[in-house]
Amino acid sequence: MHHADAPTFDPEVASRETLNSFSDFARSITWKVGLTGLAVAFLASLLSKNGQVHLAYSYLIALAYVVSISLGALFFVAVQHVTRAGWSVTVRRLAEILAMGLIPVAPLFLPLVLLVLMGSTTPFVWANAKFLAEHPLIQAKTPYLNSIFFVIRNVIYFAFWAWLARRFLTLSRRQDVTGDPAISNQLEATAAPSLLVFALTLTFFAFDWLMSLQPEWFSTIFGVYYFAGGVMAFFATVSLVVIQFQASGRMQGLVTVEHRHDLGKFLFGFVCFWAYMAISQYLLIWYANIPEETEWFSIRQNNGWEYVSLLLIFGHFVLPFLGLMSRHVKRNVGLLRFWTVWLLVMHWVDLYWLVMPALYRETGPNFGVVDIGCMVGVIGLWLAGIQRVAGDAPLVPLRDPRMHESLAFHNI
Amino acid sequence: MSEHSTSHTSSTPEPRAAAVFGASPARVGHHSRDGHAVAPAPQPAAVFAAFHTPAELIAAARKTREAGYANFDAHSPFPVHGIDDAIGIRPTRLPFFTLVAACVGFVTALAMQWWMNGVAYPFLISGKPLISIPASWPVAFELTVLFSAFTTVIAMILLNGLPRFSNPLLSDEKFLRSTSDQFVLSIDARDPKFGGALDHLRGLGTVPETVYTDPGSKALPKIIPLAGLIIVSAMMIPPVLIAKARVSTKSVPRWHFIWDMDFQPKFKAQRENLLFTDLRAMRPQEPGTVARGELEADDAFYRGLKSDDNGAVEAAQVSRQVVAQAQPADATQPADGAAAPADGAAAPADGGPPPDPLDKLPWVTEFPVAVTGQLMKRGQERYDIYCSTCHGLAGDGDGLITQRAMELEQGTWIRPVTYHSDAIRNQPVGRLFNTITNGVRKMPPMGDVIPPEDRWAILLYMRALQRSRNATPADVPTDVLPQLKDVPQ
Repeated sequence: MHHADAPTFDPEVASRETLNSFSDFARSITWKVGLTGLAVAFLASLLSKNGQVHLAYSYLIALAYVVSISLGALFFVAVQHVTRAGWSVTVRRLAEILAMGLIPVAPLFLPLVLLVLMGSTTPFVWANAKFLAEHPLIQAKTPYLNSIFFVIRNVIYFAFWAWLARRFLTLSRRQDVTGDPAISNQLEATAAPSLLVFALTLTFFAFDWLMSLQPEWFSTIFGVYYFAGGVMAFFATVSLVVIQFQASGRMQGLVTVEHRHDLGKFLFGFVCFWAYMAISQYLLIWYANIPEETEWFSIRQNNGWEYVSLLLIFGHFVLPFLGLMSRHVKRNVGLLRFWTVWLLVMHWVDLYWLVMPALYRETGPNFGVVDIGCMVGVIGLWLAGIQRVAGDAPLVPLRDPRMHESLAFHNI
Repeated sequence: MSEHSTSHTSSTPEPRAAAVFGASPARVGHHSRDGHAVAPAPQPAAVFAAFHTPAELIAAARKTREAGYANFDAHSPFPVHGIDDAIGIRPTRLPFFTLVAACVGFVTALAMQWWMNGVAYPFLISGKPLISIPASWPVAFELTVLFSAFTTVIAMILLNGLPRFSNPLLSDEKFLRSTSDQFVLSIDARDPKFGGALDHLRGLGTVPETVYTDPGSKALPKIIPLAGLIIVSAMMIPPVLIAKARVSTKSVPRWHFIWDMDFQPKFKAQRENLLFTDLRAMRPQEPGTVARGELEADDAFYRGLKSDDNGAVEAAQVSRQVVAQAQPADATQPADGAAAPADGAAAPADGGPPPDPLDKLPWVTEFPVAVTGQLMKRGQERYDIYCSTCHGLAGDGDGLITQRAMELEQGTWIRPVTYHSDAIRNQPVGRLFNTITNGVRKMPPMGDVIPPEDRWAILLYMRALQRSRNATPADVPTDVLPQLKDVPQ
């Protein structure tokens, strides 16, 4: 059923709005900011004794951050196709573009992969032969945790993600030209089995890059935890992008308060889902009280890390849970923008909490210019890469068969 | 029987039955409109008009609201976007009910678990704190959801003005088309501007209809109180059965509703277990180990021995060895007959039995616990329960069991010694404690039955009994002295 006074939509006008249609200044600045950020981080790391080890960990946090958002976008697109969702068509292209960020971010992992192949204890102790010789328990895990298999796995992850992201965007853009409804069915057929592979690749990516920082520890729910935070960060990102684009005059009449309301609902939902995963992981380990499992939380409850843990409980769940509950907040541009920025910061804190305690078990949180430089640098290069691989894509699917349904979308 | 009923059914003409049941509401309606109906006279309940499209309905609702009507409603076969705004329905208050219920559920769950686990029934589970938030979390989450879900549904029903058992609109055939292919706007008779409602609807280009109140009786149908009575009576059956079961006996075994809960594949105390060569399901303690909380390092308190002489472990070992050696020897003693019943703790001066190795141990002579009136009362109570049956209420060795055993004259009973001999009176309190713990002659070890605190309490009472036989009037407080009858004044 369509609303009687649904807004009119002209594909010709909409096709002129792309990332490349931004001003030249905005287009050229992202990669400069990215390189500057990384350079600042590198220089700052030279100033302290343990600086370059910290740099590797901080760089890993930044990479895990942007990858989680792009993976959240990839998941969102796949779910929209599988469920034949109508409401989300006008925001789906933004997710398709964000998911393309997985392609330019892949080479950024090379420095860390190189460290693994060199057998450095930074960032992964299991890559080091001397460490393994002294730790028979971790030695027993080498059939999985060895540098060659590690590289093979990561090639598989990124190859699959790049293929899927490209397929979603390419076919969707083909539909922009032809308007062929059969393409929607084709995307749907791709999305369903891909979600299964996606779940496995994301889980093992989280195991490889985040959980194996403390290789003696293990948690089967860990991948879901990383996924929950990533999808939440994706919804925060896409809401923020929509708000900022509309504030600068783009996507007018295409994304309405109704769509922002729904993105806000998803954001709220994944705030809860993240907390649900976090407590599920914590509760079982707390209850079983087995030393090899509790050690991971013990580090995060002592030496100053307890404040970061409390910050997550309140900043990542309690406050946004209460703050995003009301529909008035989700329909208010200013308040929704505030919570998206807040949660994007909290997602960084979450990853910092996952990664850094492996380095600073006894000395407590350590934060500085290196971390800021890494975040600015990686986000800058990620955005520049997205611009490069998807900069000419229109910001909405132009001739999606469900476009009219999305434009007329209305919350009760 | 079945033949009869079949013929009965077929003999009833079906069209007639349909007429009786199917036509009655309409007929009542017509009667009432014609004025033939029974009292009370029908009043207009509402007027309504039908539209063909949702857009017309929204426009009509908006105009009706602008005309100053407040008590009106729209009816459509499916949800119509924008109708809420057109009618002017206020935002629902339902979320606030949900929020309050959620908070109440959350607090209830936490308070309940705090009370149950932390206060009323503190039960230590794998060393966790009695009151711990992580363990309370799942229940808190569930109760939050439960309370808010129930409250939301109930509040939604109440806010909608339900339950409402009859609505005159629903008895009108034309109105019922709003469930299939028409969009209906109704104005309630309680609206202050109802007088002009028909004209208003005509002004919208429709042919409005009037619905009248149900002319039927307002009394409850008789079936309702009857059904209520039956339900309440039926609800009484389970409590009555339970009450009966609690005060009566049965000659048949109980029912086992949940078989695998009543008969569990586990080993109970004193049962056989074929997994072990000694066939005992209750596993003895491993040699060289101490169970948690059973170290009992305090020799004075747990064994009545001075630990500072030889060191705790040594003294305890000596004590155990001695007890182990003494018991087989005792088993042969009843053959001695005469010596044993007299004074077992036998002073060496008797020249009879050999010197007891227990005499050489460093027994404590002072109570290792605080001596209080409360302890004395506790000791008296425990003594009367555990000791007096053999030893007698005053410790003369003449309890009821002893008296009966002596009457039987079977020769297997060894009469308990009196507490009031010098030998017993001079024994160190630690030695007496050992006697209670490990037993002597016919007296069984009471250490597994009576906790150490109570053994000391019993000893304290025993000391009081002994002293009462050797007291002077000076030992009695002056204010109760006059109560003693045979004290020379």
